[in-house]
Amino acid sequence: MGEFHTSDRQSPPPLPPLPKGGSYEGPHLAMGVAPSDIVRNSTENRTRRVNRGEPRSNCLCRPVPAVPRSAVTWISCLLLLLAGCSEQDMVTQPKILPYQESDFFADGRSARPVVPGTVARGHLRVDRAYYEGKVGDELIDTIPRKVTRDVLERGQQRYNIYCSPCHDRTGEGRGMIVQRGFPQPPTFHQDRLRDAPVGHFYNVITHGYGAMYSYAARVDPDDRWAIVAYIRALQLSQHATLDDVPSAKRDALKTEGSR
Amino acid sequence: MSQIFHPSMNTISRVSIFGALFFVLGTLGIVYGIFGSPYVTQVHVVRDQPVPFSHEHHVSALGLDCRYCHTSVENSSFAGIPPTETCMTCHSQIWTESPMLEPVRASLRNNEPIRWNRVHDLPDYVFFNHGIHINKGIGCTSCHGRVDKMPLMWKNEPLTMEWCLSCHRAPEKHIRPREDVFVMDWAPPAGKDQIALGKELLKQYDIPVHRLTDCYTCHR
Ligand code: HEC
Ligand code: HEC
Ligand code: HEC
Ligand code: HEC
Ligand code: HEC
Ligand code: HEC
Repeated sequence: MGEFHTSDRQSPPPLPPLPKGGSYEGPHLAMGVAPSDIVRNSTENRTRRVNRGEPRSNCLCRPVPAVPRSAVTWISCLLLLLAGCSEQDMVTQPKILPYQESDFFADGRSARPVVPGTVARGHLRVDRAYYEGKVGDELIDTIPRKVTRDVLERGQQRYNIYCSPCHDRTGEGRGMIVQRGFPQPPTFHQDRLRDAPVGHFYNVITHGYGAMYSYAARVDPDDRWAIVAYIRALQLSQHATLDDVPSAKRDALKTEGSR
Repeated sequence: MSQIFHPSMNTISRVSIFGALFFVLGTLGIVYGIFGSPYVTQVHVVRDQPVPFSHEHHVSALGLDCRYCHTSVENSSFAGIPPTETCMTCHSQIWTESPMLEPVRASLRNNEPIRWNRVHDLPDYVFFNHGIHINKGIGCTSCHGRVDKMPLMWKNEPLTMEWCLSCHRAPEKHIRPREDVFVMDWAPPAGKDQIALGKELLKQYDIPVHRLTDCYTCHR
């Protein structure tokens, strides 16, 4: 949705054939329409020009066969100078950039909500296990994507951004916002949550839980599973013993002490 | 025939020629000065906002990451301004009586967006994209300054073409490892200077410096 006028962003399409009649601004202007018309082009005209995705200069540089070339060049140059006067057109173009206010819709929002009953491309989400964390009505207990080191690292990063303000980096639930008065969440290291199926965590992120809001708008399903995987890792870490550490790293841990 | 111009005219004409030169240069200088001044570029000028939102509070004191609110900054052209719901993840429970936050609560009640006033606003004919800069190791502070020290948001750089180009010509002066983009007080690691590190990263991230100054990079 945000990428409304994508055509503006790419290289312009090949030039259209020169029109025969007068509806097209370029040749018209070159033949001596009062210059002020360029400045005060009606919105209609401007919109059309933008929709065609062509910079104005395309029209100006095209020689019109009937008029001597040099005259066209000169007039074009003069018009180019004049273009400076209509700067406003270019600075504030009649296109909608993300979040820009629009007077086209009654509520002023240019980013439109999805029309009820429709599905956006790529959002068909038929895989219930992946997108809802459930099979039938049962919460699933295996993460429905491959968990690699990359996924865990991504999960750690996302957890630290979106969850640690309240749950803190270890999952004890004493984050900075809690210290400022937010209700304290339960620690992830209690038995109830250690035994909870992964689908539960996925659903808490998706739908929120009690005082906790939903994070669905900010954390996409891939990242939700990455975070769930990382929470599992956190839970393991709090109950780990030295035997869980690869033997090669044990000595390093001992010398580093408890950090 | 007697002379029309007295010899002293020599001096006067010289003075006026130089005078004219100085006058022209001076005028140009003043014009340049005006266009570079905060009056025109709005650098360091604070804008009125419906809610006096403080980055200093939320970023330094609470330690929030930029992405908690500016969610799309890594993979979109637009960094994203947080919707009301994002504020409410916290303010539904804390500071619920604060009069300063009334517009936020009203927005949620009435399902009406908060109208934040833009601080940074490039002309529409300039193409800009956050994603590419973040992914190639340009930190927020290189363009927005120390946001974590701003009680109210201001523009730290003029956002003129000259300014964009000054980096596009020599990105090695600013580039840092990708994972440190969001760090506010980043400095090159001890014993390494920025240029050397920058040159390394330019190679590593495969940055096409030669075409970063082409017009079509930013005007398309
Ligand atoms: C603004 C603070 C806040 C943030 C941020 C937050 N949570 Fe919570 N979370 C809470 C609170 C408070 C509770 C307890 C809710 C209750 O019991 O009413 C909670 C509860 C939970 C629970 C336990 C549910 C149960 O069964 O008891 C899980 C799991 C959880 N959060 C996961 C997350 C994840 C994952 C994230 C990041 C995507 C996150 N939270 C971000 C405040 C937060
Ligand atoms: C708690 C949410 C929150 C966090 C965290 C946050 N911001 Fe913001 N940011 C906002 C809001 C709301 C606005 C709009 C109001 C304003 O301009 O002050 C904003 C505005 C901005 C703007 C100016 C936008 C404009 O109008 O041009 C910049 C730049 C910015 N933020 C950068 C950052 C950076 C960098 C970080 C991380 C260090 C960050 N923000 C963290 C909420 C947040
Ligand atoms: C992660 C939690 C969190 C989020 C999200 C958040 N805030 Fe806050 N905000 C706080 C906390 C905590 C304080 C109190 C600061 C303190 O105690 O230092 C606060 C204080 C404030 C204050 C000062 C209130 C007063 O009366 O002094 C304003 C205004 C404010 N926030 C606006 C916002 C807006 C607008 C947003 C959404 C863009 C937002 N906050 C998002 C946690 C948050
Ligand atoms: C290369 C310079 C640059 C970097 C790096 C950069 N910004 Fe921006 N930012 C800009 C410019 C330029 C604008 C104005 C964009 C416009 O008007 O279209 C902007 C606008 C914004 C806005 C207002 C909303 C928008 O997208 O227009 C926010 C919020 C923001 N930046 C946040 C951030 C955060 C957070 C980071 C770091 C992760 C960051 N920026 C990094 C240059 C930069
Ligand atoms: C601090 C350095 C810096 C500043 C300031 C900066 N840029 Fe960039 N910009 C870069 C780097 C580095 C790249 C990455 C190039 C690449 O790898 O493609 C880039 C890439 C871009 C690209 C994508 C190029 C492409 O074709 O892939 C655009 C567009 C762009 N910048 C626009 C701007 C604009 C407009 C401004 C000024 C408002 C600006 N930049 C300011 C460093 C900067
Ligand atoms: C790195 C990005 C970048 C590149 C490359 C770039 N520009 Fe710009 N250009 C800008 C920005 C940003 C502005 C808006 C400046 C402002 O608002 O003051 C601008 C403005 C302009 C303007 C309008 C000036 C005015 O004051 O109204 C012209 C004309 C222009 N550029 C021409 C060019 C040409 C010709 C080239 C190639 C030689 C070029 N630009 C390359 C970023 C760029």
